[in-house]
Order: sequence, then C-alpha cells, then structure tokens
Amino acid sequence: MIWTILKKEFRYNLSTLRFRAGIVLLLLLIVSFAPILLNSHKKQLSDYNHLVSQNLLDLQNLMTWQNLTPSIYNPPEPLALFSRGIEENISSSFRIVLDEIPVLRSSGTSENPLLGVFSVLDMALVFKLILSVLALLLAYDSLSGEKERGTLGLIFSNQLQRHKLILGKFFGGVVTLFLPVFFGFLLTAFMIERSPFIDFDAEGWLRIFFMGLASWLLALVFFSIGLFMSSITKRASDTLITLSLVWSISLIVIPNLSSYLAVRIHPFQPRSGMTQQKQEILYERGQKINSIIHAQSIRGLVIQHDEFEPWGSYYRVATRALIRLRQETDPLIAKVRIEYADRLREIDGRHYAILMRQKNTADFLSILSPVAVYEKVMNSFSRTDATSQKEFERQAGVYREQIIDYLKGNEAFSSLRYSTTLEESQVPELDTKEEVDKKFAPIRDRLLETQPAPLEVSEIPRFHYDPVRMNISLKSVRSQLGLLLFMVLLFLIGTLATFKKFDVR
Amino acid sequence: MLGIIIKKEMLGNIKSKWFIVVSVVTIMVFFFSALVFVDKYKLEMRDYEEAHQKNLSGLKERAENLSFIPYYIQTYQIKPSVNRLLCEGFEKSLPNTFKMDVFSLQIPEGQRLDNYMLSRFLDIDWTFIINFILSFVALLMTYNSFSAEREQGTLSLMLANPVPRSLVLLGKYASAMLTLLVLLSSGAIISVTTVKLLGIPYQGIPDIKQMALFLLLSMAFLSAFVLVGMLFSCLISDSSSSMVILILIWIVLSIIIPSFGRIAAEKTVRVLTRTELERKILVSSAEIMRTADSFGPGAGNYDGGPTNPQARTRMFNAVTEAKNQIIDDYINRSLLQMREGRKLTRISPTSLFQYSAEALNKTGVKRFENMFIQLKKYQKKLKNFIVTKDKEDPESMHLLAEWEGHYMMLSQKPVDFDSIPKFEETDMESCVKNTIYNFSLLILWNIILGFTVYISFRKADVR
Repeated sequence: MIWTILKKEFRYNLSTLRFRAGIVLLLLLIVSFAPILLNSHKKQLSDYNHLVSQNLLDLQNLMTWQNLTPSIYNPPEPLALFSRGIEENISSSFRIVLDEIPVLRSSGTSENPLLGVFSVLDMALVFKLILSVLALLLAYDSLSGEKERGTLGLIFSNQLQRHKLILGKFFGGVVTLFLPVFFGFLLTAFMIERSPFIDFDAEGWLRIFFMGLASWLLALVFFSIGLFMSSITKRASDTLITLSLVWSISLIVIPNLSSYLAVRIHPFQPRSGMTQQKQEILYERGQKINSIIHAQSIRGLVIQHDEFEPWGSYYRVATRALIRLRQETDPLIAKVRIEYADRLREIDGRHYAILMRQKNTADFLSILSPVAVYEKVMNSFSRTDATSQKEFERQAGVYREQIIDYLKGNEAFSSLRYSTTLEESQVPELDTKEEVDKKFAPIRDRLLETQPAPLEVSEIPRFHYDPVRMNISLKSVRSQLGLLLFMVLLFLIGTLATFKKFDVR
Repeated sequence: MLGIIIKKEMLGNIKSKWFIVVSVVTIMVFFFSALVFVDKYKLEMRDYEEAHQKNLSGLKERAENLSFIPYYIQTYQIKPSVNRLLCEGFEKSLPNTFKMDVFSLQIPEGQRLDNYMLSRFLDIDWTFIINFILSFVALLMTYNSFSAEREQGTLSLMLANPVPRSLVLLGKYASAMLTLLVLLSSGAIISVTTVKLLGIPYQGIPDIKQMALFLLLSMAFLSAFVLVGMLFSCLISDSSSSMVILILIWIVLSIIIPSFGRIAAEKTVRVLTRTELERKILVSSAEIMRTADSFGPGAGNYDGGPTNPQARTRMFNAVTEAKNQIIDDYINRSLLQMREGRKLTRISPTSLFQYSAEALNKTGVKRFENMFIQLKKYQKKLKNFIVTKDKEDPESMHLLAEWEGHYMMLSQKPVDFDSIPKFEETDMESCVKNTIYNFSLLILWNIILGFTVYISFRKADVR
C-alpha cells in the first residue's frame, strides 16, 4: 500500500508547477554559476602559478642566506566552488622567516579588502536555497491541502492505516527530491569534467558524492519539517506562512545570531593587551640582540654599501670590521630570533584558543538550523573549513623548520655568505677614518664592477602542500551528518504522532 | 470609492493571522538590531577615542623638537557613524585603520577583532530588514490579491459595480504600500526609541530628515516588490502557484544576483596581492637607489665615504614619491574593482536599494574613500607646516626626507603644540549624485512594473 501511495505522490509531485519551476531554476542557476565559478578558479590558479614561479625565480637569484625568506601559497582548492567556507577569510600565503612561526591571519591584509562588501557565491548557496524551498513547497500542502480539497476523507474511507499514508508521502518525497539533487550534481560534475583546469582524482569525486548525499539529506530535513507543519496546521496557506518563517529563521536568523552570540559569550581579550605583550617580547628580544652585538668589540670602522635582492638587502661592499662583527654575532642572533618566535607564537596561540572557543560555541548554537549544519558538512568536504586551514598552517610551520634545519646544517649563519656576497680575499681592510675617506670609494667602484654569482639553491627544501585526507574530513562531519539524519527522523516521527489525532474533515 | 477599497484591503491584511505573526517578528528584529547596534557602537567609539587620544599625546610629546614630528606615525580610525543603524554598508569588513606619517599613508588595515574562523555574518541594520524581511512581506501581501478574489468569485462582484479597473488596482497597491509603511515606521520608531533609551555617547540618534528620506527610499524599493507580487497574481490564476514563482523570483533577486558581485569584480579588474605590492615597492626603491648618483655625487653613501645630504634627500624623496604612487594606484584599483563588481548587480532592486541606502547614509566604501582623501590632505598640511616652521630656524639644514637618520638635518627647536595642525574627520559631502542615480533606477523598475501590471490587469479574465 505504501508503494501505491509512493508512486502516486511521486507522479503527482512531478506534475506540479512548483517542482518543474524549481528544477528548471536549479539547473539554470547551475548552468550560469558553474562557468563563472570555474572561471574564477582558473584565475586563482593562474595567480597562484604566477606567484609560485615568481617565488622560484627569486629563490634562484638569492645572493645571501640572511634573505632566504620564501613565500608559500595555499594552492587554490577546486572543491571550493562547491562551498567557499572560511577560505576567503583567511590569508592564503605565508612568508617563511626566522622571526615568526606561521600563524593563520585574516585575509584583510593580503588581498583587496574592499571586496568584503560582496557576499559569497558558491554551489552550496544554490543547493541550500533551491532544495530547501523546493522541499518545503512539495510538503506544505500534502496534508492540509488534501484536507482542504476533501480528498483526505476519501482516502481514509478505504482501509488505510494513517501511518502508511504518511510513510507513503514521505518516501514519495524522498524519491522526488532525489531527482533535483541527482541532476544538479550530475550537471555540475559534467561541467567540471569538461573544464581543462580541474582534474579530480577518485577522492575528489568521492567528496562530491558525499556533498550530494548531504544535499539530499538537507532537502529531506526540510521535507519532513514541511510534513510536520502540514499536519499541525489546518489550512495550506497557514502552513506556507509558518514554513516561510521557519525557513528564514534557519537560513538567516540562526546562523547570524549564533555567530554574534558566540562572540559575545567568549569576548576577545583587548587587542591592545595582545599587542603590548608582543611588544614587550620584541623589546626583550631587541635588548638581547643588542647585548650580543655590544659584547663584541668592534675593531675598526664599520662602513657598508648595500644592494637589494628580491627579499631584502645585503652588503655588496663592507669593511672587515663589519664582516667580522656579523660573522661572530649572526649565529647567536639567529638563535635568539628562533627562540623568541616560539614565545610570540604562544601569544597567538592564546588568541587562537579564543577564536576556536567562539567557533565551537557558534557551531553548538547553530545546531538548531539544518542549513548551518549543512554548511559545515559542505565546508568540510570542500576542504574549506577550519581543519583544512589549520593543516596548511601546520605544514607551513614544518616547512619553516626544514628551512632552519637546512641553514643550520650548512652552517649558513656563520658563513660569509650569510650577509654579503664578498669573498674572503675581497673584504677591504680599512681601519682608520683617513683610509676610509681615501680608499673606500675606489674599492667600492672596483668591486661593483664584478657581478657576484647567486647561491646554490637546488638543495633547499621546497614546499609541497598535502591536503587533508578524506577520512579526516569524514570524521569531522560524522556528528553533523548524524544530526541531519536525526532531524529527518524526529520530524517524521512527530508527523506520525500528530497525524494520529488529525481531524480529517 | 478608492478610500473604501483601501480601507477594506488594509483591514483584510491587518486582521489576518499571518500578518500579526510577521509584524511581531519584524518589530522584534528591529528591537534586536537596535540593541546590537548600541552595543557595538559603544565599543567602536571607545576604540576610536583611544586612537585619537594616543595621536594627540604622541604629537604633544614630539612638540619638544620639530624634527621628531615628521617621523611620528599617527593612527586614525574611521569615526563610527550613527547612520549605521540605518545602513551599515558592510563597514565591518572594510579597513578602518589608517597609519600615516608626513611622508606616506600606509595601506589601510581592518584592525578589528574579527573571528576569521566563523563564516562571515551579516549585520542586521534597517537596510537588511527591509531587503530580506519586508520585501518578502510585500510579496506575501500581494501574491493572492487578485487570484484569491478570483477563486472566491468576489473579483467579478467587485467589478460589477461601477468601479474602473484602474481604481481597483490603485486601491490594492495603495493599501499594500500603506500597510508596509505602517509596519516599517513602527519598527523604525521602536528602533530609534531603543537607541535613545539606551543612550549612545557623543551623538544622538540619526537626523530626522535623514530617516524620512530613508523611509521614502525604502518605500520606493518595497513598491517594486508589491508590483511584482501583483503582476504574478494577475498573470497566474492559481494563488499557490503564484506564491511558488514569487518565492523563486525573490531568491534570485535578493540573494543570487547580489552575490555575483565578487566574481564580476575579480574578473574585470586585477588588483595586486599584498605580497606583489610589497615587492613592487621594494623593487622600485631598489631601482632608484641603484641609480643614486643621478641625484648628485655620493647620494647613496650613508655612513661612510663623502656624504652628500642634499643629494641624499633628493634620492629619498624620489623613493617616497614612487612608493606613494604605487600605494595610490593600489587603492584606486581596489576601489575600481569594487565598483566594477557592483555594476552588474544593479539589475536587482535589492542591490540598488543597498547602494542608494549607503550613498544616502554616507556609510560603506564611500566613507573609506573619503577618509583616505582627507588624510592625504591633512598630510600635505602637516608637511607644509613643518617646512614653514623649519625655514624660520637659521640653524637647520632644511632637508626633509623619509629616513630616520635624517632628523638631524631639520630644526631641533621646540614648537607650540597648539599650532600643529590636527586631523579631524570632517563630515562627508553628501553623495547626492550617487543616491539619485540609484534611486532613479529603482523608480524605473517601478514604472516598468506598474505599467505591466496595469496592462495585464486590464486584459485579465476576471471569471
């Protein structure tokens, strides 16, 4: 019997204007969104390639070890076209330096911040809007509408148990809603497949499959909410109004409110406090470095002529006294800088802990909204969630360690090539003022005529980003997927319970 | 006759159950938005005052020696405006902190305590409520204005009386607009009263005239949605189908089209990334310093060799100028990119309303731009002041250059603190042109829709 109702519901749904309009709009939006998003990915990819090759070129022109401060970039994530997540909030590059350990930063400092006036566009936006509305529209009059038309009374004059009707209607919706999800994702996948810039491996497609599954689940949550509301209201138009309220609350109000409240519940420590702590540490570091320099007696005059390379300046010409000073102090200073980087990281870590506490609170508060839960699932499968960003930060930190180890292994800090391109024999021995006044300019001019060779950099470790694995993503969204399923069951059972007492006249 | 129709329609609206629910929700949102606004305003005003005082005390300290002033980095924040209650203009995501010394203005930064781990959330200002709640209410009010009467058979009864169709149309339109106006103004009154009662420091509530103009603008926007609702109610005989179509249209107009902006922006104009920008500045200064001798012999010698302060000053000034040029270009291109992105989204009345509301309330990107320009002017004024004061001192070498080591080349005399120019953000000149442009596009929407509704209702089959 359930099967008959299911078939009837399915056929009826397919024939309705709302279903057709919804599915046409969904496909239309996908057709217009996908090329734009793919194009935007292409642009990001070319920017990324440009930056990476620029970085490599700069590396090949490296003159001194002190300026080895390469930048690393988070490769644009093709899956982000499904869900942008927090990717755009966060800066996608790090500069590897001795002074600081890479820490996630707000993107406000890395790209055009004025683009903050625009809202985010991704496939998840289309799916969550259209699927939720479609599901609600299919469900809103399925009980109250039949009652109004009087057909409900007719149905029950046959030998039919009430719960069978509900289950039939529910599974009818399950099958009906499978269609837009299936065709929507199929179309998107087809357009991605045709694009030459994106090449997914099996894991990528698996992720997309899971996103499809999550979208279906979201549609079912709204469908069961629709059924539930339809069973507790008397008229179809009342159901529709109530449902539009539920919809806007779960789409707009709860996600915004939960973020706002989370920030209020765990307020930030004042920035001035954090800046001050950092300044104190930096001051202490400065004192320490100064004491290292002052501990060395400078024998002779300190004169230099600087040159620029891509990541900073270096001594093209310098007197013996300066070179000697640098060679003696640089290893010690480097040690201090690395040591204080850890201390600065501690302060950032404290700030980060607050951010995570806020995020967890916001996540907790937003479990009331299926849309917010769905967004989290999509972000995780698109690798644009906090876990992914954190992983990039971690790998950047590892890379920094590699660079430091490399420098240490080559004894770069105490080498002549740390701060200057001069060779041992070329360093001018000028000790008195008279000598400098007389000889420095000609020596400099002579030295500048020869072009020093860049450093040998082929053995410097290169950065390669290894994105978050599928099992980690799956693990992090287990509870969210369970929650969506729970909502479906909850409202279905709710409908079954209330419909028992439904007055069908 | 018109009066009777309006009265009947309005009573029908107000007495319905859903209208009561929606009104309660709307008014609660207005109340809540006022609470949030006051809370945030107080925090921001505190930050702003703090930064302001810090600048003054910094300048005061440096007044003991004229040569210290040019190298002092002042930090300014955009002054929070009360108009943000009406339209926040996404100022939350825009840079608000400007650092400057006499030589250059650094690239503005958004120094807010934002949690980048949370997805961006919207600020609930009046514009938001009108854009996302009241526009929906406008559709709910009109989606069945003809189809329901047709279904009940009352439409033909009504037209059986000697009432011209245009009058029926006008009556329905006016009553929907009046109901919305009542809803909107009661929300506005609640919001303003809340702000007034809680009290915000330094400034009162937004200007009454300002609010009246804003309400007018909002009504022009809502009128477009009322007309869309009436149009589909005429065209589609089944009221639930017309609701379905309207919901889908609402999604496209309010959410989908506005979100195209970012991609359109990124596609039309390319802006340097921060890394590229820093690199460009470094390369340009390296380039100038490499050709140091073209500024005079010995311009590139700092510590050793025969120095030539005059030539060195010329060189450093060239470096500063090149850097400022690059930063200006960057800011201008960023602004251009943003504007290009907004061009396309103007198809949707929701975006039009957002932009005209920003222009009318002088919030949003315009404010950022204004601050940048004003600070540039101030910078020039401060520089002139230093140059003039420096000229009065015969012992000074009168060489001003962006290099800390050069402070010795300026007058070492104290200056009167009160005579140093101070920065005070002046009120923006209103963006009348921009407001009127967006407003007239909104009116155009209304005229086209109104005309279509009229034509389709004239031909409508009332049976």
